[in-house]
Amino acid sequence: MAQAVKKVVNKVPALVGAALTYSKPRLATFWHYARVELVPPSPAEIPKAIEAAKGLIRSYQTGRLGQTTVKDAIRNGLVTTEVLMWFYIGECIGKGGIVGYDV
Amino acid sequence: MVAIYQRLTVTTEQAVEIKLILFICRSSRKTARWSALLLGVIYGKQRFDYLKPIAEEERRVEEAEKKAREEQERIYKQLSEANSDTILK
Repeated sequence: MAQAVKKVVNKVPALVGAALTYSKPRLATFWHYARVELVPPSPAEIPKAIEAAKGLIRSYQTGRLGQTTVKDAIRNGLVTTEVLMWFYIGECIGKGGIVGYDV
Repeated sequence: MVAIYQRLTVTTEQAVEIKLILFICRSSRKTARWSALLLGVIYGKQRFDYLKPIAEEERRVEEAEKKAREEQERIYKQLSEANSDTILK
């Protein structure tokens, strides 16, 4: 038993090192995208977003939306899903808990 | 040659429309994310404020019912003890 525990304890630094080696480039990639995607929009960007939303409605009305490729549709679907998930994160913040309402 | 070139190109208006369709615009993604976050916070807070008094009322009612039930049980117990109390024991 003691030997097994000793083996595990000896492996921990190697595991931590491997975890760091694995995660560092991925964290760098994440930070590279988060720096530009997750910051709040500046006041100049909001009119552009409204214009893009109007363009989306226009393209739906003209029927151009049906001409999207499957690849683009999947990508847009993933982006939309990610945006919807932020709503649930906001709900967790608003209700003051993660699971359920603590009433 | 000119006809092929004309077929292969899109007008500027069509290109802008295609770009808008594709939801590539970063500012629209950022605005959508932060708007969704804000809406979620507001929704969560409102739902919490709506549910809190309902839950308190339910707890109060449950407390009152529990008291009444325990009182009933106490009376029943006393009565049963009184009935079983005989000199024959």
